[in-house]
Amino acid sequence: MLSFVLQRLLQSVVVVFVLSIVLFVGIWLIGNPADILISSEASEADRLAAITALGLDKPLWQQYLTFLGNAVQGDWGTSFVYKEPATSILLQRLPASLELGLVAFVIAIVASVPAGLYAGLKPESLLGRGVMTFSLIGVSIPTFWQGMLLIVAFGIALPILPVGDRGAVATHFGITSSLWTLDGWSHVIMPAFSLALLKMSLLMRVTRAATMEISRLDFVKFAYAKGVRSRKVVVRHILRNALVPLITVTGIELANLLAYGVITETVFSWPGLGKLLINSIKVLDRPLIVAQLTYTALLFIAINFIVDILHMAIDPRVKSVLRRAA
Amino acid sequence: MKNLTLASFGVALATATSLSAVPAAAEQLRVGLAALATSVDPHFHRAGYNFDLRENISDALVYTNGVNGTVEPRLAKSWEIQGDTKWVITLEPKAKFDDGNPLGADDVIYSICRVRNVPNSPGLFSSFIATIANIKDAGDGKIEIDTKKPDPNLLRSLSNIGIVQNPTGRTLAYDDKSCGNDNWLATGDFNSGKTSPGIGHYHVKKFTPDVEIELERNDQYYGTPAAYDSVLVKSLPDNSARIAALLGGSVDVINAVPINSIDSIQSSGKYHLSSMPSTLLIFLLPDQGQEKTPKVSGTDGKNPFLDPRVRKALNLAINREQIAETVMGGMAQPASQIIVDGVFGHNPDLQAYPYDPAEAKRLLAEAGYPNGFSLTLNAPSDRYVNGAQVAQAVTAMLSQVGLNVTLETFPFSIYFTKASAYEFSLYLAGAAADTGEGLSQMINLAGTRNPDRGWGGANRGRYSSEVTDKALEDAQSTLDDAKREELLRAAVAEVYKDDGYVPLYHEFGVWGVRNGVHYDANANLTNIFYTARPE
Repeated sequence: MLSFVLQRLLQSVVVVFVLSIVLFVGIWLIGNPADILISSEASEADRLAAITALGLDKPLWQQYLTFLGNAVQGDWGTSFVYKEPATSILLQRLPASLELGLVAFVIAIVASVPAGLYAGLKPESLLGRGVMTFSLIGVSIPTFWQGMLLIVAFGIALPILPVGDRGAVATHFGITSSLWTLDGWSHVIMPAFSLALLKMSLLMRVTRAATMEISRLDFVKFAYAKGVRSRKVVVRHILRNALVPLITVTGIELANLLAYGVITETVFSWPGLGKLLINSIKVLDRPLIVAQLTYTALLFIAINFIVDILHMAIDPRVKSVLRRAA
Repeated sequence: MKNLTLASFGVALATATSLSAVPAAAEQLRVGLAALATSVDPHFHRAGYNFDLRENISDALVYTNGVNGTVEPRLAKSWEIQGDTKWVITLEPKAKFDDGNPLGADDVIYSICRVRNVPNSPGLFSSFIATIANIKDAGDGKIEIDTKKPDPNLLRSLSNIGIVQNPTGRTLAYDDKSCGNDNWLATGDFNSGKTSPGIGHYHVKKFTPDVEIELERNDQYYGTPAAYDSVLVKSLPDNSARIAALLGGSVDVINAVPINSIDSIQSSGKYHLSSMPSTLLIFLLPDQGQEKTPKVSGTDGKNPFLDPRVRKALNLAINREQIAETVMGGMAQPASQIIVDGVFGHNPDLQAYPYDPAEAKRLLAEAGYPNGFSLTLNAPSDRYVNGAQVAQAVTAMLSQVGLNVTLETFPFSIYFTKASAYEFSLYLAGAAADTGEGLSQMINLAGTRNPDRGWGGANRGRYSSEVTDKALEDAQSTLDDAKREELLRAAVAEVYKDDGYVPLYHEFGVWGVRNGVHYDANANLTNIFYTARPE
């Protein structure tokens, strides 16, 4: 187990390292941040002063080594645009993204697992078909489009929900969040639903497929034949086995929700990381982009790690495979 | 325990609802902007969105009014020119900083010195103070500014420099480096609220980068106070999110209204538009700087744009009325020249270019291209209002006179790097008049490109004319307004005669405003919150 954790840690260091090189070179290839930041009406002397101030006058490898040296000491650089430490801007925006992502995740899970299970157990029923139709619509509508539809429907035509932005925040138990206030919930519910829709539809399909596959297996038939109550068969035997693929997908989806709510955050002007990422890319604010994508990589690695642990808890067969691999 | 949690949750909900029940709409103005200021520091970064905030929170010596073009007194109560290069400025005696200290000459000197000394600035304001040779305290609440040569636009330039309080306890001796000081106010302290950005109509209550800025009225303000108690400025870069925020009632005003939403705002009966032509010129610029141009073929290696007949053909091939009416939804004014009507330097004698494709074809044939040639038009995909659509329309129009035009667009983040490397043969861009008059815009666009001198910064097609340069150079040091205007008009006419530019239109600044709010449009596209009022 320990070696497994160590191996994972080592892997994540390599991933972050490679990612930072790719980002540095990539942004350098795209263009010069100075061309965007500096007014076209500024003089050449001002331009050079700015390039020096941002450290862009040095060769790329030197800029990278400086970055690496600072990063090891926990300093992820200072935003070109805001001149604030990248980490502090990130931390400022993180709560909003976490709120939105978690609410969306809960909505997605609560709606999709029971529906998918039902549709898997009774694929021919009207409701089962309904679930499939819904999920088909859910996966086919582009996120920005359904987001706009939701805004037009519930924000403008039927003005019952505020259109975008985070609501009032409050602090309880040391956590400052907009989920403590009614106003906060009224703001979060629409973007969260919009963000959840695609994931929900996807998870419904995964759950249904897994359920259908497992329902046909011998041990389920055997359990039924033995006269085990059907609720018990569903919960103990079918659901538990269906959870294995579900958790893998769910883990990746959760990381996606927490890091890449880019479209939803833009449409609903939600002040989270996604909106920040888009805006930083527009102005090639390299320190912010690097810090953010590194955070994302770490998040994916952490969640995958948790998924593996959960797998072990649910499915004893995985444990032995992992042990052999380590 | 569970009940306890629920109970405290309930209390939290109750508090939240009671808080939001306080009527705020009457006194608070909520504004959604496409781009938000990146810093509270008035000298941090020279960019349009920072001009916005600065004008509302940190007064300069004067204000260049973007509605009528005049220079209004602010921290400078009055001024006079002695000789050609000495300005004596009387400071406003009623102006006081937050701690009650009155404005002094030392504050002005410190602020102007700081312009060159903002650490890690991604773009300094220093070209606005380039002509200043010396500033000193003249006693009696006055300062004296000496310029290196006569500078008619000194005050307009200084209208971009917010005055902060001098923390050094001494009066700095002005020079064009560090003024003998090595301890400058830090940008971060302005953002966190530790340092005040100066004297303005509003105070910054809270600054959250890229999200929102909360402003509070400065009740000690020396001049006419702002009408709204507070202003909430939100960042809404996405067009549809911005329009949804207005229609959904979460903001009262938005800027940069997307063209396709103009009808829905006007027809709703609940909102109105506030608009006026801005100084922002959208133009095409053919490459006139190299013998071989990269994106043209079928000309035996020659650069066709060196021939004035070809440039004239471009000007005649474009139907500006149609672009302004159809593509821009009426929110643009067809342009005959660089400087917009109503701004100092505009030449009223120049006729709008007629739309004459037959003549354009004839000129192309005369220049040796009876069958046209192939060229790529470049345009930024995400920079100007409907810019990509305008580029498409232009492509179609140029094709109609026999040119084989391909359109190639790039995102703004890489577009200007390429344009500055002269990788384009014909490109679309825009440039405004930072100082609210025509001279700076002409130097920036039509002056021969010379980075050392700060000329032709946006002239990436490298139009160059000795006559134009001479007129602009003379205008730069002519204090007499009538004579200077004469020189500017001559320069404008010269560019017209040379067909050096293909001006398309001047974009309108368009704001969407909820009925019940009065909000001034502004030719400089600046957002002025202090002139907004309930009505």
